[in-house]
Amino acid sequence: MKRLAAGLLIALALAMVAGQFLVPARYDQQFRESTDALPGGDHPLGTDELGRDRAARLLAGARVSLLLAPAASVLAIALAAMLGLSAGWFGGWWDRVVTTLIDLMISVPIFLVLITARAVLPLNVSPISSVMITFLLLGLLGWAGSARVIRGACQTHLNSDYILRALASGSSRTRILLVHLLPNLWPVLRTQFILAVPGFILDEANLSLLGLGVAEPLPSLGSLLKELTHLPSSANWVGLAAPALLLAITVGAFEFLLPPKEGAS
Amino acid sequence: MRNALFRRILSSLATLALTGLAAATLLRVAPGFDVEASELDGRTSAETLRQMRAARAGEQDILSFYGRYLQGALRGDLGKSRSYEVPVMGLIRERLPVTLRLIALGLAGAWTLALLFALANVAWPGLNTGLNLLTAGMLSVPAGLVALLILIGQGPVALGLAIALFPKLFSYSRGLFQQNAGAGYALAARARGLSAGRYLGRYVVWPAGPALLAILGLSVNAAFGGAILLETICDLPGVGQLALQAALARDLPLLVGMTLFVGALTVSANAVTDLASLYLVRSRSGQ
Repeated sequence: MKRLAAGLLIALALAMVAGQFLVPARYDQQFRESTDALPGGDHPLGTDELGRDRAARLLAGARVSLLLAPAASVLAIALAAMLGLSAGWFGGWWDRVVTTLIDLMISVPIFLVLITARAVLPLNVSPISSVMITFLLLGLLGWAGSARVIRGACQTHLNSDYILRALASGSSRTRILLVHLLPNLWPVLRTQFILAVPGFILDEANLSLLGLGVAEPLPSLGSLLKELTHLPSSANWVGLAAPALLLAITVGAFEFLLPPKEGAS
Repeated sequence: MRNALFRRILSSLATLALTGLAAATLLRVAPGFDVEASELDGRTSAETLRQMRAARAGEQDILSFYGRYLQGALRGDLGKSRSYEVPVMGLIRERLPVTLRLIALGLAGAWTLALLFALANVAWPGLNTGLNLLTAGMLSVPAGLVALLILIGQGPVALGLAIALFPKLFSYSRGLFQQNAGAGYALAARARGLSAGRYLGRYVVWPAGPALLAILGLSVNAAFGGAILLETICDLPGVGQLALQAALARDLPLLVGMTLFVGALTVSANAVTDLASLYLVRSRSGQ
């Protein structure tokens, strides 16, 4: 299942790269003579009410979500690693400060924090700025859960026999950090990264559905979902449902890349 | 136990105060915070402009604003909404029943389904693959999309919340039940001929009680997040919809009041379930 999921993600990445060759139309190019067209001919998924090619918009939307969600995850995991590692490493008052910060971030619904933070920033911005703001916010606010896990893992390793043995044999703290601790924490960081990517794709989708995500005319997988409201009155259900299907497949593929859960976490 | 209770209440209050301060600070530093569209209207007189600016002068210093705000909050006064021009507490009181009903129904549905499916999976391990696929599929759908589908299908909004919460609750519950079912004492009891019902009840579900209680608190938090989306998309006039409207209108008193209020509810729910979980653990171990 893991191989299938990885294969799907690689195929999706290739389709994104080859998107311009597969669908020559630009995501914002209007075909005014064929608005709301059904799939077929020049437009494999039809066109929207403004005459834009749905397939081109889907590929561009997938590109936005699939390039920037991992970037936001890198930011979130870097923050989580810095805070979690330093809390576990130094302990004492710094550990209490970080733990309080984590509790603060976890105790309030994260979506409430996200919409508040997004709404206080300018909403009337260029599409590129809206993409940057959305994913920066996701990265800056999405570190708490991972920081808690990394802090716990760091403390577990610091109390383990191999670190005690290294200390007893006279290894410096820098050497213990770089040679022993970080390599052993790598699998935890990698898992947290894979866990964060689908979460950020879903958060972006939810924000875009509320009009707080990626701004028009640039599409994202989330903003394309809004068009599902036309489903009852449209004959092009394939074109309307395609973004939802692609989103579910992408997020699902990331879910299957994760190691199996053991008990409750 | 008394010490644990005291520490938990203290930490909950500190978290709550920090939550409100963070929300107030965020809005205070937001670009355009102290500018109102009506100020740009050429017909507004200089006197009116002076009065409008004087009315907002108290909000300039974030700490003094927040100090006065907290004093009022302790008396049940969360200030006046700038966009609705009515008391914040009145707005919350008016919309709270809708949200509480949605959350109660959503949580009840999600927990019932999660526990039933988790138990069925432990009783019939052959369901594992099917349920894994179902959970992965449901986890791959954003709550906003669930809300859209509920809107299109004109289904009950609480069902949407239950669907959005179900997969994570199911995963946690199943993990706990499977851990308990695989424990040596449970396997020994089963091998000695204990009936399936007693085995599941006494050795699988009962030991999971404290952990499930702790997750219940966290699920209240998640339910509030889901309620914002469902209420907004399905046009349900609850607290979640009000939160989005407050954020979009940059209504500082309303947004800080909402954050404090929702924070108070979720922090209290977490504290109560944590303490109940602790009590359960201690009473079972006879301490």
